[in-house]
Amino acid sequence: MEKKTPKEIFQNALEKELPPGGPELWPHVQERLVARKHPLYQQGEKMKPNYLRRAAFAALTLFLTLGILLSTPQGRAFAQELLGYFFTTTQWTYPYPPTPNPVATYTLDAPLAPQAALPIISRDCGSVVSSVASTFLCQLQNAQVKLGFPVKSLPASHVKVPFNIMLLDEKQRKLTLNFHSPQMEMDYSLEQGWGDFPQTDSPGDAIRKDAIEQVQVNGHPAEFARGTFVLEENHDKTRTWVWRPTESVYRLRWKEGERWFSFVVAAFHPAEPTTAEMRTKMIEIAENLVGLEQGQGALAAGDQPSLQEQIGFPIRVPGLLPEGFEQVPDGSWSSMTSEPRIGLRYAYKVDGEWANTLVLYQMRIPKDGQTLLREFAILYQDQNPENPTVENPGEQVQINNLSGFYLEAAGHFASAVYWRDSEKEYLLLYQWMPTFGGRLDKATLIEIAESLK
Amino acid sequence: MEDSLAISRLKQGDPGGLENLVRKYQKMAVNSAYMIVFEYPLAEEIAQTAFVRVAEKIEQFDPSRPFAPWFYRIVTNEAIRVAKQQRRNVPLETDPDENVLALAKILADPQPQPEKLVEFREAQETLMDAIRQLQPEQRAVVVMRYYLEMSEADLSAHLERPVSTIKWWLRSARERLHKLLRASRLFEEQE
Repeated sequence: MEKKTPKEIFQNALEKELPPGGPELWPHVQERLVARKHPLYQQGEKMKPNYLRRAAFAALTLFLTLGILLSTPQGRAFAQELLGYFFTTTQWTYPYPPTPNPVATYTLDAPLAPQAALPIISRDCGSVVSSVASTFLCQLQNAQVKLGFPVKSLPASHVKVPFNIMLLDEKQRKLTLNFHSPQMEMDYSLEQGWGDFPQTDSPGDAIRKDAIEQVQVNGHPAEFARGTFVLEENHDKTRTWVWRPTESVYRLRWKEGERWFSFVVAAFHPAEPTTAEMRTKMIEIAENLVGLEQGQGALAAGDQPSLQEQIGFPIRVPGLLPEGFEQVPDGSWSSMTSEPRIGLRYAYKVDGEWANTLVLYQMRIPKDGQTLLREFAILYQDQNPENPTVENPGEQVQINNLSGFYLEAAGHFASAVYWRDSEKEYLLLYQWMPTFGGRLDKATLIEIAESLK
Repeated sequence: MEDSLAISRLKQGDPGGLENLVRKYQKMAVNSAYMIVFEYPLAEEIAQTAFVRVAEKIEQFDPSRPFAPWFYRIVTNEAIRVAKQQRRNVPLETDPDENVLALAKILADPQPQPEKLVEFREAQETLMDAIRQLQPEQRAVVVMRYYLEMSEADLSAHLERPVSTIKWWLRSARERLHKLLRASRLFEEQE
């Protein structure tokens, strides 16, 4: 008869109950220490590159959630099943396809064309609605008209964080509203649409089947889940989607007639609530969503001014942009700068998928050294020793007689122009998909930088 | 890397020291916490919290003593705290007197490690079910003694209770487990 010690019996029993592979706690421990401003990570100065990569990925995840960078063909093979409201899987991991081999490059045939100035700030919304110059209320009214159904938003009675970004997809008749606190302790995304829940291309949007709980929202069947697939870097530098049941990402989905809702909350606060508390809170919010007809005061951030009014300095926009680049809302967020900043994002799409993007970041010159240049260097310096660092940023260039730098992140499909005037600093970030060969060259980026007005 | 070197690096402000400790102890920490709270996400959170506490309290750690018992005490204390907040994990049988009385017999057991003679087959699921029915403190004692293989002296030191109390607790826990597991014969009768 087989005899085992208690420890061996415990271990065997655990192996039957617990997910394979074992935990990977270090990134989470780092995050908690950073959030607590522990001396090991004070002010982020001693952060290890891995953490920073993760921070950068957090921003990217937001984009993925919001759908800006969706539709990468790599995700198409992802096996999934629509069971109820979530796309589900029984797997713990998915391999991330290797980076596709870059195609041959050529100069993008996109001559520079003059651009309009920002619309004048108007509290009565005006004829042009802009993610930068229009209030949240104006943007919401505009979305409702274009979608053709009454839209809902988060209730002021339950949510006290600022509005961040709105993404309107008229073709798919869906709207995403994102709210988050300034330091990203809490992030709320409410997506709504007409018809069926949209397909997902990415494991990042799927849920492990065993994470789903059946709940109700206003008497409607609903599903709640905690956890998310996260892209993690392996020792050999490949990447894997790994299901993390403890990630503080909570999702609630339900339907009301033909309308579907997807509510996602991400909590990054060290004293985050329990799963049960979060479930209760999200259902409460979902049951108290408000519409425009209930008045400005009932809407969370209902009185929030435009970004242009909030930022506290005159926003400059490119006077020239390559033809085909269109402004899209910028939902990026960073913990690596301390001054209020703004990003103006322009996307160039091919067959409906983004192929190139330009983002013009601008902010007052910080006194604490947390510059846009430092951020760029931190994000890319551990990828390649030849990439820009704060000490050795790259090639010096002149932007309207102001000295600046041309930065290249080799192998990471990004370059930038960085410069300063007497009050502000600017980073014109250019990113491209390696599967698309069209490129803007350095001279074009400098010309765009020099055209700011 | 030796624990002492990792601790030394951590005390000098090097996150790499903590990273080494995390990588070495994370699995046992999560597994131990799991057997107290029985929710994997919570167990991971508990283990994370324990490592954060290590970073915060490392100056209080006596380097002449082993790290593992000190660390597991943090894990189990946090797990007990969390388990007490889990309403659904409160055992149906909540008569503390009965539990304590039941615990009493096992720790008085003079025989050294009689629990080594156990039958493996059919026992695993029953074992977990049985542990689920213990009070959080009892689960913690069982985990520390039988899974983490901490000595009674360690338990005494780290639970800040006399050895006699630890014996009393363990005995009670074993008796209770014994009753629960009688059908599976996991813990053979030794008394």
